[in-house]
Amino acid sequence: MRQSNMWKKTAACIMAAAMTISMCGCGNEGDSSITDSSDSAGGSTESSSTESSPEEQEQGSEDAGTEESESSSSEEQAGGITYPLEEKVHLVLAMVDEAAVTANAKNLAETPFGQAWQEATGVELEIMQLADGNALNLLYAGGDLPDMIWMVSSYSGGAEKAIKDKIIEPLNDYMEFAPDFQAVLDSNELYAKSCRTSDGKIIGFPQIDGDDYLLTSAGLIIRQDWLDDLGLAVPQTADDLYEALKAFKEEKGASAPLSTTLWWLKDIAVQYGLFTSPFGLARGGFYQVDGKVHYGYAEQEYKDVLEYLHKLYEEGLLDPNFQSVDDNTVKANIMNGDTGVAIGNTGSYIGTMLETMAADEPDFDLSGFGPLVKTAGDIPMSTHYNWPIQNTYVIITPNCTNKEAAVKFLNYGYTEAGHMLFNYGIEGVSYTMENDIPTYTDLLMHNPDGLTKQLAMAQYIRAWNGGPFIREKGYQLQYSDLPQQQAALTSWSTSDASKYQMPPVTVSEENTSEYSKLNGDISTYVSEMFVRYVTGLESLDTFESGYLATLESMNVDRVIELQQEALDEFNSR
Amino acid sequence: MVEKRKHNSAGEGKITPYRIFSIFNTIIMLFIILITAYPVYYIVVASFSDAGALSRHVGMLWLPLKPYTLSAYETVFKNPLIASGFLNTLFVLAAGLVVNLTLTSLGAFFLTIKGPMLKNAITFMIIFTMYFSGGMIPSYLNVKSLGLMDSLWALILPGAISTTNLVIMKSSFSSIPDSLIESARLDGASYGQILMRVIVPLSKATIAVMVLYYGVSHWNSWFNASIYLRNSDKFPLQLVVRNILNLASNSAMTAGGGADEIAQLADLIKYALIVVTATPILVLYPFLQKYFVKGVMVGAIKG
Repeated sequence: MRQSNMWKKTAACIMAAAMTISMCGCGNEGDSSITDSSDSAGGSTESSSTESSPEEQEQGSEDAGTEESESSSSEEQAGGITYPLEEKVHLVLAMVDEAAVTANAKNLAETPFGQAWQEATGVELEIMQLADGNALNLLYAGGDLPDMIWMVSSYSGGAEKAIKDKIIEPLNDYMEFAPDFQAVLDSNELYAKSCRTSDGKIIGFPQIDGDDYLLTSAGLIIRQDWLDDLGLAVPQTADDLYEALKAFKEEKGASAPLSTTLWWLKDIAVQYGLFTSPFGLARGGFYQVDGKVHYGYAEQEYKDVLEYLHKLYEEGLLDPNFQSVDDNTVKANIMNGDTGVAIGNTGSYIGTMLETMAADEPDFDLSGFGPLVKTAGDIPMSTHYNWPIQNTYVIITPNCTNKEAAVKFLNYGYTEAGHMLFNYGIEGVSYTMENDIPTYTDLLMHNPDGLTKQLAMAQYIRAWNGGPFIREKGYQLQYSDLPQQQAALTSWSTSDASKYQMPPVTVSEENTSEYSKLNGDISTYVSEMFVRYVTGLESLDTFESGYLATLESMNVDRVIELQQEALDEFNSR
Repeated sequence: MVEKRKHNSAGEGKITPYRIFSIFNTIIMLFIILITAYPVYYIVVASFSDAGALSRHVGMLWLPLKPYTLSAYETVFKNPLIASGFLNTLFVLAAGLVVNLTLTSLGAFFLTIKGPMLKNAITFMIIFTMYFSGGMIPSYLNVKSLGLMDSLWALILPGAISTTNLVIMKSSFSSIPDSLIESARLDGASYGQILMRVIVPLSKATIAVMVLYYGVSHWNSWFNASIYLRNSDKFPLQLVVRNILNLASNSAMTAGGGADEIAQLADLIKYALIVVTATPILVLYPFLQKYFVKGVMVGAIKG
């Protein structure tokens, strides 16, 4: 009896444990989206004439009396604004909690970066810390807004609606207080178009990625050591990849030569065109050819892409579990020799795996390659790219108590001194000049307190996660510092994407609900059919009669038309 | 245990249909326990494992992977918000429970006693809220105009009474014979005395269950905190945890990271956090377990 009592107690504990865990489990799902919003309200990505890194920017000449120039103005006095400001101002900035910042400081204003920003501008900054995007939306709904809001995603209905709803105060009347920001807009037509609404209102202070190199972060990854063993070159065409996968399967015993999650396969690889160029399709989703909008998933060429993927699936070259595996399994597969090719990014894929394997298997090596092309040597039509200005803005609200000071405060990130502070932090503390190149110190790179690079950077700079400034390539070069990561970024960022990618257009307010309803249904259908075609549940013979016809009946033409209107509007700004 | 008793009375070696049933029943139950307990076990074991080894590991995990490490726990406890989160949660838990239990018992008592005017109408209005709620934005605006924004009381007062719990408590109170209340009335007891001296002592089991229900919901809740609080040092534990988990999964996914060990550590941190945050409430369960069954039953048996 005693024994059974014991048993009863143990069982009770176990049951209790199971119950608690199941109750604790809710709501922990992180929203693991890569920064791009792909098809939602605007297309995505591209970069064309954005080679003007901040150093080379033209002089701003529109405002009289601003002899502003990013490269030659004096440190403290750029473009007519004297920092620190003379009057003492207190400003409240609402922002969504960044766990990397609050891991080591109460909020952004209390980090060494925040202190330096306040000191340089003479503004006393108070942070209103919002737990997540949901809280931000409620803040909009609630009425009394703080002075400034750090917007991390677009307002539903677009910036135009936000201005109408009295969330955003357009900057047009205040640009005289932001000469450095004005100079940035003058220097680059693309920037100027991106942060204006259709009626020319300037939305706010955007985060700008000032170099092509910063616009891509994901692509195809391959076991370079296997390629070397087998005497194969890095695949360039679809056939090359097929051969390599076959060789991996036959000679390396890889059970799933290409393993990846559904998300990477569909929403990155096909969506951004890593696999589509060989078949003459720029990419899935919306793209443009000479100002005309196309929807990649409704193009005839898409059939060949599906056929190719289906062939890989059927011959056991594509992981049969691609619908259910997660990133950790894919990485484990690569490290355990079950997989030779995956789709991933520089950080958590290439960086993590190389670091994990460095000790045990020094031969283990990875390369980034692709996007695939038709014939070797071609430039791919598209790649995983983000538009230099996305949806991150710091905006001024109509409630702002001192708009002039707030504008001056936010202009600081575009001055030369501010540029250095936001990208590199404080000279002598977080960076030093070595051969005229700002170089992060060990405080960031090998933190004495054992902080990871990201956590240390979150205290001293903003380049790690954006803000109102132009991000520089130097950050990425030092953050992703393994040669394999650098090479991968170079390979991934080479493409003709600029010809095809949609700029960040906004579907006009009156059409938003129609658009999102149609587009939502169509995207769901497309994703569903993608899986059915790749796995062969549905024969590709039905592509025209079934799939394309259904898309037509779902009114895909109307969605394309709405995107076309939005693109025309963007081009006419 | 049941099986044993039966077994003894039925005599050695005799195979009865009941015995066969018991054997299979036990096996199936053990199997169910195994599949529910294993994930819990996995999390504990994984949280002590080496990050690199864990990321290469495929399949079942029975022992921590060498070299053992506490690095995930170090990262977790280094976070200043974990400590403040604990304190905030404890405050919400303690103050919340007092408010919850007081108001819920008063409410249930009101619905139990005979005599109040419009009792049926009021009951209907209370039950109505179980099925229809105002929604998030009206609640938010309400909390805002009550001046509770950015205050821990915003996590306590709006949910002071859970209708479901009120109904459970009410049925438990109703199972106490009316004659007891009447005799107390005859002896001159006020309503307050009846509640405190007669009803509450007789409903201890139900109250223990209420402590558990309300306690666990306070412990686990983060959503209200995420919309009402504006200062990270007021965040309760679960919200802090959620943000750290988001950080871990975001940096595992986002643009161009370096060879940063955070991505590697991400899973370990996740596991360690679950252990750290689940343990305290887990410890509570065995003590309340016996009331748990009894308390809910008392409500259910009422005829």
